[in-house]
Amino acid sequence: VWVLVALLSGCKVILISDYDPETDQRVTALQDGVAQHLARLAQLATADRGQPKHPDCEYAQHADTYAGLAAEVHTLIVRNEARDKNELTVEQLKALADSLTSGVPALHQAAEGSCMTADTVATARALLDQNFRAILKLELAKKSYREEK
Amino acid sequence: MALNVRSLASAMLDAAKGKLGEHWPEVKDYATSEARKTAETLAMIERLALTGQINATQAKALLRMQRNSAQAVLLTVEGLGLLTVESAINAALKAVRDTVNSAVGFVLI
Repeated sequence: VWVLVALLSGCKVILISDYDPETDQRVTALQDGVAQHLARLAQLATADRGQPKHPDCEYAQHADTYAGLAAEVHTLIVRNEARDKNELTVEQLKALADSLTSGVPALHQAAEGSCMTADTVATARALLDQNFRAILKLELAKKSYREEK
Repeated sequence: MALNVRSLASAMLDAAKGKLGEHWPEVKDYATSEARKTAETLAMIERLALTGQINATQAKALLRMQRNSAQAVLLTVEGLGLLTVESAINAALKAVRDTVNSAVGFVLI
């Protein structure tokens, strides 16, 4: 079927969107912002079942940061929805958005004293890193597969 | 009883292999690495709950994030499979381009 499509169109078969450097850069920048936020929370984190070290660890002190991250990931989704054959990346970004807007804030808000433990922050970071890595792995593969093969 | 990271990772990989079929060799390294990390994170969530570092609401939030991350990984695996198929088709077309174009007398491919 794809060979027929290629013959009729007279060009290469394209099954998935092209590499987008803007998305690559913006996702990397967002990952950096999240990493800095979580590093700050790790510094302020409580020990196991401990009392907050500092009032700055409380959720309310970071609500603006969460709002900023939500805005950035929303911008990325809109940009990527405008790209052809890009459903996979859009769904990845929506999964990330859910974690950034519903996952981490809920984790933070529901913590005892509204402050997370260091291990809880580390677990959240591992999960978000996996999501970011998946997005970047696919975006970079769009470039490398078409350059090398 | 504590979750066994190796068993969890192995179970996830076995399930993924069946779905991936012929694309498995292209995604094996990535899928293996991420299955291991997913299993480790599940074990961390269990430990946080057992040591009282998180409550039920927080455990649900972490599992929600786990689901999102796993979805992102599977979408990458799907994308790598599509890119592999795309490369194979284009390589096949490239291999016969000159022959076909010469035969028809104009640029078809």
